Amino acid sequence: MGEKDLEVNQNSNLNKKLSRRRFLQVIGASSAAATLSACANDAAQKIYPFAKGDKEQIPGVAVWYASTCVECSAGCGIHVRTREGRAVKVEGNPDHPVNKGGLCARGQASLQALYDPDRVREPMARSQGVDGKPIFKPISWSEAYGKIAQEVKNSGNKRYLLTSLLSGSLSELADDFSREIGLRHVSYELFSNSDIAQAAQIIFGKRLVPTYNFETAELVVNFGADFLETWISPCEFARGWSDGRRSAKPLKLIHIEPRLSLTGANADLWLKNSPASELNLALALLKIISTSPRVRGLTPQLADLIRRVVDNVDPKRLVAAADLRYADFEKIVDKLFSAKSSLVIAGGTACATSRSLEMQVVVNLINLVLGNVGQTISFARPRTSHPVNSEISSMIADLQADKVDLVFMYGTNPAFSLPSSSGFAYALKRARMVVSFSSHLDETTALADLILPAHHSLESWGDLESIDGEYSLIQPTMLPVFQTKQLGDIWLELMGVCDKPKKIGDKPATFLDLLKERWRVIHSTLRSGSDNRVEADFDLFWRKALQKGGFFNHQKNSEPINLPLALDQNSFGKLNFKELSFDQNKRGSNPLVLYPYPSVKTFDGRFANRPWLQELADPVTQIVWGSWAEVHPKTAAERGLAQGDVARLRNYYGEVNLPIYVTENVHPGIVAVPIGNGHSEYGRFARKIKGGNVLDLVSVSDISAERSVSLLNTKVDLARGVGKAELINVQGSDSQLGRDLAKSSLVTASVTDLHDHSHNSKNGHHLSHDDHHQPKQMYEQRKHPVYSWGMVVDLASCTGCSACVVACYAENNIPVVGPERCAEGREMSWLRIERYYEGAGEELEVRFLPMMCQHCGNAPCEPVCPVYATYHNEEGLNAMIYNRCVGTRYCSNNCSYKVRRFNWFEIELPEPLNMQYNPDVTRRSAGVMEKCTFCVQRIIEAKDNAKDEGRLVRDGEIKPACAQSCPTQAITFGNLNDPESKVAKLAKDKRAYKVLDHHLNTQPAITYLEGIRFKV
Amino acid sequence: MFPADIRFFSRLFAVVNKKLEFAIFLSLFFSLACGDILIADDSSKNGCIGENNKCLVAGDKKNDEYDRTTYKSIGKYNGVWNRGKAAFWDIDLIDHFHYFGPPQRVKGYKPKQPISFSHVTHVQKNKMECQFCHWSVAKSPYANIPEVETCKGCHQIQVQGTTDEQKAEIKKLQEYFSGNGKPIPWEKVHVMPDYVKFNHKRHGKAGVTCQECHGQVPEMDVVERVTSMKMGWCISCHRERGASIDCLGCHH
Repeated sequence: MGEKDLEVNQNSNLNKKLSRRRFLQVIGASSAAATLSACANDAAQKIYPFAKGDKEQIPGVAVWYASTCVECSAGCGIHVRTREGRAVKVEGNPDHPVNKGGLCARGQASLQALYDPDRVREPMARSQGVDGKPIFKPISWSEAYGKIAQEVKNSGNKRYLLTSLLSGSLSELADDFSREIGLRHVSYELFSNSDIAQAAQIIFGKRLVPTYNFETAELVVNFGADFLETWISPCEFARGWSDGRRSAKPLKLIHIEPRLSLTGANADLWLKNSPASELNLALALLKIISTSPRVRGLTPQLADLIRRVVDNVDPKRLVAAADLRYADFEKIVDKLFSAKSSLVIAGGTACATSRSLEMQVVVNLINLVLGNVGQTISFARPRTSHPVNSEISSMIADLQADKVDLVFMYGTNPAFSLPSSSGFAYALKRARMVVSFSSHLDETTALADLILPAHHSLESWGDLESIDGEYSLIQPTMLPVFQTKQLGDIWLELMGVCDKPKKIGDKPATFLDLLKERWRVIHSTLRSGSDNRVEADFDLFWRKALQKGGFFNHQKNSEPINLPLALDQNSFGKLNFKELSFDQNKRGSNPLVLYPYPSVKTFDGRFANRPWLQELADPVTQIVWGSWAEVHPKTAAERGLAQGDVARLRNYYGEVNLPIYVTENVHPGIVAVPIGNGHSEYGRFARKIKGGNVLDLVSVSDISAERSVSLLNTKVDLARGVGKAELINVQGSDSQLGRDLAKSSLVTASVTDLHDHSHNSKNGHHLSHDDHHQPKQMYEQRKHPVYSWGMVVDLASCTGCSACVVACYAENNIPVVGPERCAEGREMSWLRIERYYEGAGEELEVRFLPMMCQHCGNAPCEPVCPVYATYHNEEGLNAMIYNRCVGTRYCSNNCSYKVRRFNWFEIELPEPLNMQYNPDVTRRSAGVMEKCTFCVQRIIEAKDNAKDEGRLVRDGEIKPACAQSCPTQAITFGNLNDPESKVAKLAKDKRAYKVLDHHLNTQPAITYLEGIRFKV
Repeated sequence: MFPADIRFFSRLFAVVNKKLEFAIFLSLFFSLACGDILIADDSSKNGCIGENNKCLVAGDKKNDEYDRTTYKSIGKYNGVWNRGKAAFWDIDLIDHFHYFGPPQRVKGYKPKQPISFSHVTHVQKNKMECQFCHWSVAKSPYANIPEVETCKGCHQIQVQGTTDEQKAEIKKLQEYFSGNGKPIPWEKVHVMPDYVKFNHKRHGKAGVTCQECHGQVPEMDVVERVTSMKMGWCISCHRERGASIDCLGCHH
């Protein structure tokens, strides 16, 4: 595997240093060439027909498959668009109960894992290279199976199967596989819901993760859970959050976290507490509300329980110790009581202390006192919570004691995502044979002796039951890219080789057989439950499930279910509710608390080798391609560090060197670092980011199935570091400089309808008056006889999650340019999320503004183009004709929104990442301007279908990639000429405004709806 | 100054100047003979596309009406150059620039195919419909090249050719049948640059026959490009029929 990065086409002369003489020669020759071959033609082309026809695959027509995303444990439904047998786009499945149509940036980037150029392409075995370094050499499947069978026969010691969280048929097969081969099955996830499930076990007697109904809550108090980013099921929660914001009793969010996360940025009130004070605050909150005269319906049992927990708590002292004002805290309590419905949640790094379980128990008690259980917390459709991390500690101990012969691994990368102080990587080397089924050469797989690569989820069968009663299916959307096999089939074949074959009837089973067998059982259970939506015939049921992406029950059981208090006295007794003081680590005394948090871009590190996600600007810091350490200005000044300086973070466990990002929006006592970058293996894109893995600095106490992995437990020393790293920030200015680009209004009074508030708002920005009387125009105005395409972006729903940005990259073949070009300001994203800060300190407000081509009716770019490459068409689009463009860049200079991107280079993605390109969109060559087209290829496709049926395009028929992907449905697209269309109605909303229109008279086709913040 | 550079420049300009003059002269000369479109004399012959193989000809009521409502009433924004009319130097001239370059795939391009497949034999003699092989043409923007499997249907056993020449070619074809089949590397005759999005289905439904662009393929032993397929040629037809000449329609 050669080290070939994003290739810049070297034909471009810009890239070479030229002597004057050479320059003149080049100029002379190229002008002569230009004259002679003004219409240079392409080389002879071949046209290859299919060898075998498939009437489902019409060349040039997309085929869609419904499947399920397995990038995290949320389990969102997806639709995969394939062209000529290749997956080219992943979108959310609108029928799926989890995500209801949206899909996060990470899910959409699963395509780049499928086409990852650094994937393991065939079975490999480790051997010694010439220089003594281990290298992997290809090996045949049967040879690899033979080696494993021999090892199984000979070994007498323990054997382990280490996987990520598995579900459905694969989980059942893993049990069979482990039993037959004699393996102990261990699963590891850095971010698990174990503590939530265990807390439910202790309080309600059932190990479940409940459903959080954000849409019905009026006030949410959140202790650090990043539910709009990565926590449990971000697409689902983002949808619930925005539904709650739009409802008659709008949701208000209070976020308590030492660092401003994306969720905190969307909160109405963000309280910056000191690190690891969440448990103390929750205890204080529980004490105050349980002793308040306003509390109602407290059962004696519950009151007694609460007394046991908070008897010795002094709220005033704890709140003060957490660097918060007691008055603020009293206000929260007051709001909690006066709200009709409320919800208190906790999670994320902030709560991942050594006492995360106690935190969840306290939160459960608070919710019980407030009467939220059975209202905003429902057990109707709980998430299944398989025990994870239960035996990882004992596995490491066994490995260290040389008691392990054989380790099988799949889907998890503990060598990176388990803090290195656990000693996993060293321990793993002691096993006699390590077999990995991963098809990515990550840190853990690199330690394996044998790699038997499994299919990517887009190539394989499977099923998932992330929510009780909702059965999702995973189906192959294309033939495998490489010589990989279905994981289930590898296991079945291994069982066969080890003389323990699994059979159905007398034939050896394949994984698909097992899957169907399991679905037969599901079918008969559903039938016996007299569900009349289930077909009697299994084949019909199966086909329908494949078509829909699974079988969903979501209409049923929508009423929230309450669980009675059923205390597990034994487990409860073991909990420690004493106030948590950040235990100064015994190993040295360092001043700052290390705060490693799951990044929207890389989560626990598994997304680091996907160029789309690396080039995506982090929504809050706006940094691309890199890892960084967020530090308070005071902390930085004390150490003489400035923005972008490389800092060394060091403690007993290790050292990392990262550029620092100085921001007011972290507590002075912490250094916040996103998890997920600093890979030593995994692929060319992941390895580009140096500095080290922040998890190397975290100490690991005991990892168990009852708690989440403790991340917030170490302190570090911050000093000027070594090495060079650059902070590549794509946001020009944090302030809007008074231009009012992203508007927002602060609503003080309680309102009944969001769309009606702007007249009552006292403090907010009022709508500019030019909406009421149009300015006089000097020239005749353009008319759009049939269609007038327009878009509405609701800033009150936009969370800044950046799913739209990745959708745009995927749909429109936007080149990923790499860190060097990004640093030069040459990123190519057609759609960016601008982030602005308004106010500071307590009054801080973060505003997100999705900015793309505004398709101005009076566009500044059009009249300056000397060759008519950009013009306004009769449907209201600002067209950009690539083949007409000669690259003067006048249009970009004249664009008021800076949304035009110039191709300075031709960027080639390495094979086979280029298989993802959308064939409906022209790839732009060097020297050509480009920008958002409103996904004109989708408009043309919809018009084509409409013409076939002799009608006009219906409202909602066209969804540009950004609108489709938005988890909160903040973007609406349609025909402004049709007064009945959704977009035309929204464009007349009282919150509507157009960016810069009142200054420049550009008449954009994109209308923004003001964001809304509530006074809490 | 560097005298060598000056000499280089003066020589260069002389050469360029001469070439330019020659180009302009030739272009003007040839522009008189441009824009020829082959229109099938009888469109009910072989190879029309449309619903149920019914031939749709230009001016077909249903389609024509629809197009008019969309585009004919537009007037001012009908086109982007010169208010809907091409400038005098426009488009057609561009077709003739190939006289100065290396041989290019314009009118008359007739590459040798890996198998000398004859449309005369298949369409004229054996009366096969175009859409029997090019079945996706009315369903998709792309007209497919028949799958190797389609050839196999007849040439596996039954049809082995009459003349020696045919037998040899069919033998060549059969080599592609082995195993799961291999794609035949046909030479592309009608090449569109990737920034042009042409929709076969749309044109078929609007009543454009295959022959209008591809010529009388049924009479060709070796497929040949009979039209320039340059933008001027497209636009002149679009303008004649009142179809959209919005750039974005084909370039996106």
